[in-house]
Amino acid sequence: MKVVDAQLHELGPRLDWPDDSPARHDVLSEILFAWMDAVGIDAVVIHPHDPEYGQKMIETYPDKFAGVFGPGDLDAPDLDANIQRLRERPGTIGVRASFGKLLSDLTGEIAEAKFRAGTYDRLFAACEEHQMPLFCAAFGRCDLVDEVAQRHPDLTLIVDHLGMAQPPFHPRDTPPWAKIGELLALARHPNVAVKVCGAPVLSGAGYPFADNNKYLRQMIDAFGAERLFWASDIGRFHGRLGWENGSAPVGQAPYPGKHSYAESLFSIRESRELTQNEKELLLGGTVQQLLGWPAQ
Amino acid sequence: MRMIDAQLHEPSIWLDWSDVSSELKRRLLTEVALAHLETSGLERALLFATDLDWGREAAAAHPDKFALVVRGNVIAEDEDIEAQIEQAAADPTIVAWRLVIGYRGSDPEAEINRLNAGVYDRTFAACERHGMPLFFFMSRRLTRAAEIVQRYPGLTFIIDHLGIPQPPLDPRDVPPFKSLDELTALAAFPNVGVKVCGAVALSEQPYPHADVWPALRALVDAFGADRLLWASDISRFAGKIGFHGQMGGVPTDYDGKHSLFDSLRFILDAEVLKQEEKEGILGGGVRSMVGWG
Repeated sequence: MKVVDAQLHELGPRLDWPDDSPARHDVLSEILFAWMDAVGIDAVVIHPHDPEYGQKMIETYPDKFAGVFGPGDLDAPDLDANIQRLRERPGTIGVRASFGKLLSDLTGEIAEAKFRAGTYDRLFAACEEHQMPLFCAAFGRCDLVDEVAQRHPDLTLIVDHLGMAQPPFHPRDTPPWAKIGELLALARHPNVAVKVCGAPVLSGAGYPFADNNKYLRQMIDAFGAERLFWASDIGRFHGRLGWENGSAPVGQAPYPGKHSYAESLFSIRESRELTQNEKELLLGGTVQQLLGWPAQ
Repeated sequence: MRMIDAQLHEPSIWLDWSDVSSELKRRLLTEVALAHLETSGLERALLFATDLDWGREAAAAHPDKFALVVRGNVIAEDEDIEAQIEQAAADPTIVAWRLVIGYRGSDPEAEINRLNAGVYDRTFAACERHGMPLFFFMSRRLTRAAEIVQRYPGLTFIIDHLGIPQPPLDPRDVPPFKSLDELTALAAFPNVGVKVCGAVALSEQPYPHADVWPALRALVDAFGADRLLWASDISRFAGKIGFHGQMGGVPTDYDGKHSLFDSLRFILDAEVLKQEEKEGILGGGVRSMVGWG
């Protein structure tokens, strides 16, 4: 079984390197390979902080890396052509848009105002037109994904991070899985899938996060494992995002649910609550079937 | 839990760095070694550095994360070996010595002859005198090891790699733990501990490798968890050490191959161990036998 981590940002270094070190891309690669090897990951969907770096990795190691990129300027006159170009570029398997709560917009009001003003409408249409899967970083706003899914039935939508507020960037909801109902409601749209990412930070129990099992089972019952896939986004949880470690202060401090890379993977891989078939779908099969990568 | 990896060579490097300075190479090794710790929630690692300059640099820069184990085979015949060991014992970056005898890759017959000819006696005596623990690689030679450990009761011996041949560099015995009784017999000597390294490679079952649990339990019952030292030696299982490229004799795929975390979680998830026993194997053993951490 090939294990696919469906979201990593390139992981940042620990030593003080010169910002403009000519070796920085290669250093990032060695760090990335070290993390993948340590845990046993075969392939990674990279959502690069440095798109040039991400693209280089995808071209150099097409079996190991594919990418989800930003859509570029949403107001650009040639947005549609940009999406088409990305769709045709080997190894780009999705684009990502944020219209949920952000560190800079903790209530999500700014994002919602933009959403209501139609800022994303051309992106939705272009992605639908060009069959480009759209990852929705809609922390706490599954209701917005619901609207998009309804309006664009031929657009493949991926709910990022369970659609829920997660430490370390957001305080948990009370209780942490309060929004599970909104997530499950999305299952009625056949064009919606869920990136199962960050569940450990919603647990109150520590590894193996047994209190999450019932929610995972509800997701499988609602969506089927063929619309769910695991992602670690481990750089977020460790405060190691990109060469600059931009998220270091929040991610490296202690916070509820902090977990290691392997705990994230092993809570699925070694779960006693999941069938072998469900594990294989969550850990690579769904990505392969839904996003067409990596090649069988 | 404060966990220590009791054996890390230079971590695997995958890209071509042949045209950069040795300073940059050492820096990269340290960066990747730090990643090795962080991926797995490890607090520390003992560095079995093939490049001693790197090992010293990393241990000096990060004394709360790394300390060095020096391989003493070649220098054992140096005129001043006693002085070298005395000096090392006073060096805070060096916490243990190592002799590799029963390793197929290094001509074990020649090493056994050297051992029998007394080549290593000065090393044993100096390590005993200066309180330098000794990692002792004696796979297939555990009865011989028993004779030696008795002669130096003041010297802490740590039997490398369970004293049992392991893939990928050695074929498994049939059955894999054929010599387990010889190993547990060494528990009678209070100066002996065991590096619990490569247990997963001896498993003939998938994770959590429950077929190895009886041997693990037998080791804890014989030695107690604080004389057992978990180690990944992950570069051996991946077949790459530092910048050296693929290690000779290590296939890219083989029966028993595993990740760092398979090795670590094998201990954490072993149902035959109590919590405090896991804490001993994953760190307490290094603290008590090596006196570091």
